[in-house]
Amino acid sequence: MALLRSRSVWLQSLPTLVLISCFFILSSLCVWSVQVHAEGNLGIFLRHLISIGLGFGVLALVAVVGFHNLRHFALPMYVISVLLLAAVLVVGPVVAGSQRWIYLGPLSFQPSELAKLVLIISLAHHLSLIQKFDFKQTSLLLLHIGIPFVLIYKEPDLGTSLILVGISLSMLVVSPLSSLVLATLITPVVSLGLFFWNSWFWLVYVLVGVGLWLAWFLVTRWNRRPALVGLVVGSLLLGLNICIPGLTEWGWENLQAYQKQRILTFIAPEPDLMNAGYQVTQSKIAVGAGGFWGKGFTQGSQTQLRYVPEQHTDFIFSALAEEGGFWLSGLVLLLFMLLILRILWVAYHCSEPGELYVCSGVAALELMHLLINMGMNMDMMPVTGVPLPFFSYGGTAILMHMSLLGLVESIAWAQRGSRLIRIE
Amino acid sequence: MKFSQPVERAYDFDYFKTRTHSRVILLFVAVALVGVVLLGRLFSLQILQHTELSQKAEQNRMRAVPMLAPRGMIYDRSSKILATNKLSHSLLFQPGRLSSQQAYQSLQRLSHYLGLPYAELLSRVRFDSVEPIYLAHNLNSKALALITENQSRLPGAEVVTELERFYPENELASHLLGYMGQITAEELKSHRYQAYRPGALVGKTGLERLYERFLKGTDGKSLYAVDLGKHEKKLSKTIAAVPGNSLKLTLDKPLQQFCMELLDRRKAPGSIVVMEPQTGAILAMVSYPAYNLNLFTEGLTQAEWKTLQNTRYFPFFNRTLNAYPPGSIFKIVTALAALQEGYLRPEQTFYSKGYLNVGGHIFYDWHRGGFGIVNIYQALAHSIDTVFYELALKMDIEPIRDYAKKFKLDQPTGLELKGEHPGLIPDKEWKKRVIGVDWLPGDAVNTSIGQGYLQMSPLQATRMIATVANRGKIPRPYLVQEILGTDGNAVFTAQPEKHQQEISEIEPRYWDVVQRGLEGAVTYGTAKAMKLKYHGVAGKTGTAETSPGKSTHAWVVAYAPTNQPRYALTVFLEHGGSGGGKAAPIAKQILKYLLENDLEQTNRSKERN
Repeated sequence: MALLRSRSVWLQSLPTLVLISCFFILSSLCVWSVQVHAEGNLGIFLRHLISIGLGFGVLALVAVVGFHNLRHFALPMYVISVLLLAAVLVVGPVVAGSQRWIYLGPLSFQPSELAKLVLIISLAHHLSLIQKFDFKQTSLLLLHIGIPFVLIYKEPDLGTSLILVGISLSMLVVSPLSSLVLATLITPVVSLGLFFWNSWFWLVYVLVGVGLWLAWFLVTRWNRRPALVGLVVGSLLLGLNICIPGLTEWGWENLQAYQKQRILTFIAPEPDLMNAGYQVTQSKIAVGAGGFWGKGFTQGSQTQLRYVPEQHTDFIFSALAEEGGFWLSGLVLLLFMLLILRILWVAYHCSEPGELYVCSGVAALELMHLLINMGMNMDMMPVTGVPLPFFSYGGTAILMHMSLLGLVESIAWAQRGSRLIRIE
Repeated sequence: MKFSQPVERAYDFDYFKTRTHSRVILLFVAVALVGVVLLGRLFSLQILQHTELSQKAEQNRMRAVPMLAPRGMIYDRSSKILATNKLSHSLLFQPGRLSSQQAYQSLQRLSHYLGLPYAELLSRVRFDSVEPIYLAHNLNSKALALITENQSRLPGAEVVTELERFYPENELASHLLGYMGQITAEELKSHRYQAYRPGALVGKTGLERLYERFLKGTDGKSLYAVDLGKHEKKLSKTIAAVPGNSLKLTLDKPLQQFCMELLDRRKAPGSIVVMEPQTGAILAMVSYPAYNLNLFTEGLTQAEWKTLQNTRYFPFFNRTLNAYPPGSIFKIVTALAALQEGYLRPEQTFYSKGYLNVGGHIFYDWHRGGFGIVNIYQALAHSIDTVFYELALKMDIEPIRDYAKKFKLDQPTGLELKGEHPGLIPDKEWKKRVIGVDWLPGDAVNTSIGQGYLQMSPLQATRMIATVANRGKIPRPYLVQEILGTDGNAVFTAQPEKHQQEISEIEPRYWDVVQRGLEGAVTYGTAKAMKLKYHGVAGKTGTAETSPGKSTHAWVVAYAPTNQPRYALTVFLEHGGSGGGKAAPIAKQILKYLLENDLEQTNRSKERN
């Protein structure tokens, strides 16, 4: 039936498939260099290849089944994923101070990866059913995000739980929620983050904000439209953005020592990152030593002498940058941008809120993974166990990212009116 | 939920289309921003900082294997060994190139094998160090066997064989020598310890700490360049280790051992100091109880350290340097002050009736019956308190204080070791300032017999009696005779005469009076227990009252032989009873040992042969 038309459908997904194939080729080369050449460990490389193969299968499967069918199972999937997250806290072994894995014989997987996928589907479905953000709906929504957030946070895995929050926010961004509410929700967080990350970025951010607001005001006056309410609301928002770092510091100063300690352990709960400082330094050296042309495949001294720990997982980008150089790592960065832009392109053409939410959520997830992982490889972000999509070794993560792309592709096909399967 | 139906539209999607479209464009902008930031950072690292960072990568290819310099030895005066080195196994750990999980597992296992808490090990590890750090020194055979057996399951750990500090006599002279311990993070930051590796052993107390820069030597290292393909290490450069300088002490090891044994038999706290009166060279300096120095090189845990610190009698406390009320040994100073200042003539007599009434308050003599009509010689020999009460009432505190200061009893003696108590000489101004109460005549009376606020360390007491033996020359006690270079020649030799001081105000005839009095104490007085058959001994006992309900401190100071003093000594027993009854017999054994196995005599006989 519909499958007959599938050839044209797959052609439509060609750009995405080409992009991720590029990623996987480079990623396999990196894993080869790091694991097989430097350590003589062929097993990891083979497992990586198997994960990639399975990944393509999962992408095809999810794309064929499609979001429009999967969303009907949102609630059971959500419940199962939450149960798995709870199970990992009970039966998961403590590895390096945290519980993240469930072992089933020779197989192991991370329920938190599954949770990201399921949350995108269930939250998109949930949001698309909301007609009005009243108190009841807001509390339900908070509960919906809060349960997996708390469970993942308890593992502890701060990076992943923050990504969940990021996904949820990005979905709210494309909802019909009023811009003012959104701005009040999001901009203070951005302001705070930028202020403590890099005060120059924060200054630029504030100046851009002031500029935009002035421009809006001038245009409004020019058109002789009333601007008083906008003026007041805008200044309040700007004031909040400017004051919040100061307020936070003031509040911090006025806390008792034990309260500070509690907050600090909340912010940095991960005990296994004891050699994070060393990792980051060595990773940065590896990236810088690469130069423009790179040291060549299996020729990077930092990589080959195994100066960077965890180089086949979280720090795989440093191997790519050292051996491939600026041109290759920069290209990979651009390709990632292309991939995310393609997802947003699909989002732009959505005709149904649920699909829009999914695309926006997937784009945000990939973007955050990219920022956090590359950022920590380049000593710009704190070290959290967030892998680089399509690059890092790790089956669960690869399957998760491929499924997400499958969702997006199914939506892209639906836009052209080609739904392969409909559950009747 | 019905699968057959398409999902209802919750809101009019088309109505909000402009809004959602602009929001998607907002996301486009966010993506572009993140891209620009990441690309900018990549450019900055790979293009702008390329030279600097590739230099660091090159440095990483050189691997340094340290060669620990053998630490200088510590000898006694006749080159008997007090501290040496022995081959021992240390545990090196390099966490940097391990994954968090590997480091965690490695440390967990090591904590189990070494019997140390995980947190303790974790606190010793420095994760930012590229070079390996010392986790433990002096591994015992069980730990060594476990670690070598499970080497493959302990990534990052490596056992190395090195020469490390060893004290063959465990407890002997522990307070002087001091112990070694792992360098702390704060010490590592300071300029003094620049060349040290994390976790290395350094002198923590005593001479080991004071002479650290001489004893340490210079560590060497072998630099290897690591080849990328084959992981072979090629030796590119070797810097040889320079052994540390050795210390030759003034201590006499057999004498030190003998004194230690004497105190050890009593199993009660106390101290002994034996000195050469002319030079100030310390022949023995024992504080009991002591502690085993070798425990520390193995790396005590916090808990072990606490229990050791809180054991009975506090073994870390150096009882030769801390100050206590001296009791009657101070009468030497009171007598000299009275004689020189004209309050007392040598032939003057007193009537001892066993007590003295001072302004309505009765001060008793230690001998309630009294001694009848006595002179100053008998007063010193029998330690008659009332005679000194009378002198104190005549003089008041000032002359006593001045003469105590002439004896430098308010200053540290200048021994190399740190932590000397300077002693305490009270006077009117001091009492007003510190206690806040006016001076009473009774205070001077108390001070004259070494009671009340007066305090003196056994080392100061030894110097005091040495000054009497020298008739006014105050020696400066010292421990380090020579510092020996690697070739065996001295790079430093002590010059005791340079630091000698003199009390010139006291006339020789008054020294005679006091010396005769002290000889009398041994021949017929309170210090009879010290009498030797063939040699003249002079001395003074002291029995100092302490807090009510506690036993008195027992003191004795002595020098011998009387015609040409070669030894000055102090025996101090903390809450040990009476000076004449408890301390003097011990002093007698030391003097007997010294004058029978006399060092100089044996030397002479050697020369004859």
